[in-house]
Amino acid sequence: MNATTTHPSNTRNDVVAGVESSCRLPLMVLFISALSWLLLATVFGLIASLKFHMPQFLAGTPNLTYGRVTALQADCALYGFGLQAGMAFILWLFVRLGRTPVASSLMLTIAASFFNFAITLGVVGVFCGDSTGFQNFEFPPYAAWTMWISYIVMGVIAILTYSNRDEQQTYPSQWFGLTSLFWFAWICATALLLLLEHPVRGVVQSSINWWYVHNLHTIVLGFTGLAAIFYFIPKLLGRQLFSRQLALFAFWTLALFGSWGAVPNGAPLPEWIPAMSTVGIVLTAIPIIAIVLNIWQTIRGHHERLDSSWPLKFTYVGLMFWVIASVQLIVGAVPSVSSLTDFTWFTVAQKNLWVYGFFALTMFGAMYYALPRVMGIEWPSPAMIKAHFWLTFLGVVLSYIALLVGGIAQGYLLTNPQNSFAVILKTTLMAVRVSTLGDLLLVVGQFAGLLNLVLLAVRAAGRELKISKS
Amino acid sequence: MNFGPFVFIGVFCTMIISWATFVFGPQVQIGGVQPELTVPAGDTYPIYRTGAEKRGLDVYRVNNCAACHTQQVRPAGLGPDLMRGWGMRQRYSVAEDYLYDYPVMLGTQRVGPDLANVGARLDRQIILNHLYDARNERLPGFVRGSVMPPYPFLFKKQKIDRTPSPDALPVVTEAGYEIVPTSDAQALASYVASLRQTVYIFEVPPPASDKPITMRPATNSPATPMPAK
Repeated sequence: MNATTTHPSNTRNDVVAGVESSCRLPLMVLFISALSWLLLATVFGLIASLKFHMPQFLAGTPNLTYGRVTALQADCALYGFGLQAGMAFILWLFVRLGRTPVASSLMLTIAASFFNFAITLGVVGVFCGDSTGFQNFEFPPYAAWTMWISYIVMGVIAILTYSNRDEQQTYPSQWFGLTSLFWFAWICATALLLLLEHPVRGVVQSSINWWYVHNLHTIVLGFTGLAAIFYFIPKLLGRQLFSRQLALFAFWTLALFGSWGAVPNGAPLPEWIPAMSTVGIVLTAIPIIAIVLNIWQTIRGHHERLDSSWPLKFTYVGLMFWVIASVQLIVGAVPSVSSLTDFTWFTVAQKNLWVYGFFALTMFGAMYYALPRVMGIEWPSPAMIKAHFWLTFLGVVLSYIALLVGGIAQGYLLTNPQNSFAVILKTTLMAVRVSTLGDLLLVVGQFAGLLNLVLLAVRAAGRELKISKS
Repeated sequence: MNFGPFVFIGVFCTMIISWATFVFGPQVQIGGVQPELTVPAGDTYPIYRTGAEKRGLDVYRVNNCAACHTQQVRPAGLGPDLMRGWGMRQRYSVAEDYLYDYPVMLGTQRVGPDLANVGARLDRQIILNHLYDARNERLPGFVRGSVMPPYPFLFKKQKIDRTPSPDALPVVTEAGYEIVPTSDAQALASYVASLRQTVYIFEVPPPASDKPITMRPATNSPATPMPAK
């Protein structure tokens, strides 16, 4: 294995197109439902945001308390969108890089339907007051188990597809993708068993909850997004990845340190637990540097080409958001900073940037690249792709900067005991207002994205119909 | 070359390291913690929540109050919590405080104040007033400019039956009617009022000035519970 293994080439283009069409139906189902959940998540986000300016807004409806709406926003984005878009991309990646058809298209579609049923069940459950009370793991047990089982079925099909591969040489993206699948199965099983079925006592629950949330973000979603970055940036630039070794080094160090905790400093746990978590988060600086260096060297001299296609733009901006969000996580884990920023908008800004900035953009990039090739149809409206990109980008940036600045201000104001809570809120209200505007842009952007996707699906269905008639 | 098995084993190892550190480790160390005795009074702590307080925790969970309120006071140096008076008598939160809670809702956001000790700061009636409408100037303990949403569905309007209910809120409503808290609101207020981490225990012994004079000043062993004389 040498340092500059060529990027998986596309020599047998016709064969590739043949195997890729095997995942038409499941990919369409997964992407359409993923984008629908994301749209719903952003709508919940907007409602939650509006409640800050008008506390009476929808206050009379017990199902729509601020707490429930924010919980649903995160759950729809993480599970409905995150896991499904991730699964769709990983499957397509295994099919394409392995040059093999998907193991069972029908089973996959059925599992995806069950998965969506589970998310619906979970959302309705939280809505009606059946939430578990664990942050980002609010789905009641019946929904969470259904979700986990259907995820396992989809994951097994993805792994079978991977092991059926025709092309034996593996590429770093496949490693990232595989790890993401294993990881979710594992952390979700842990949370299901130790938080819901046989709950552990006291704050051990919190430790598991923090560990689960952190791993869901950094490893499950993070590795999926990184798989897309490692695949698309070299591929669409027509370059070789600078160093396979460096990519694998980043992979192992990130899997090792990126999975440590995120337990806030000062949490009511034995001191070594938050300390280990801080050490792990700070050490992720190593893989971050490795990844930035690797991609930088890959791009070097070809920056002007980054603008050449929408998928590339989405992926590249996603990478930049990943770097910013990762660095912010490190900074926020240092005790002298966390004493100010923990429990403020600062951490919310980081999580939103991670999910809606980094992860969502890389998945959109993958979708815009993969679907036309899988379906054999062009995107109905390039203008809507453009709108989707800019609205999402502006929405994320606006809301991020506002919450970041608001969070830091909130942290500083809290250190002075003379400032009452109402005064602090008043000061940060402007930031929250700007972030509401960002949330609104996000909603419109996701609507454009979903509409384009649905039009593509309608067009594809029309073509199938025509073929079957003639 | 097929790296599949290596990836699998390697990934499994990293997963185990992280799992052992943040799931198994804490469980081994504090998963079996038992109630202990307060210092110096020697009472059992914590006390198991029953009745309305226990039901109130469910109302708190269902409406996800933890989205805006934390229940953890960080030690000095790791946050301004003690300075803001959230920890009674310089007492910060420790694992023991949450022994019987399920689920433990420490929270991640402070849109509103920390509630770890709210029971020691506010009385039950003010908590009820805040639930009805934290900004209503007719209600004692109102907070001007608060963004806490009102929870009208936790209250009901009922016809005054001869004498007004003692629980009725002093707010204006239709003549002949009064606003009273539902049993959910009562339970939630009882739960919130029960949130107090004011006693000293082994992990957070009383500061030097609070110690009984009979105690030997220089000792490395933690203060042992002593019967009050």
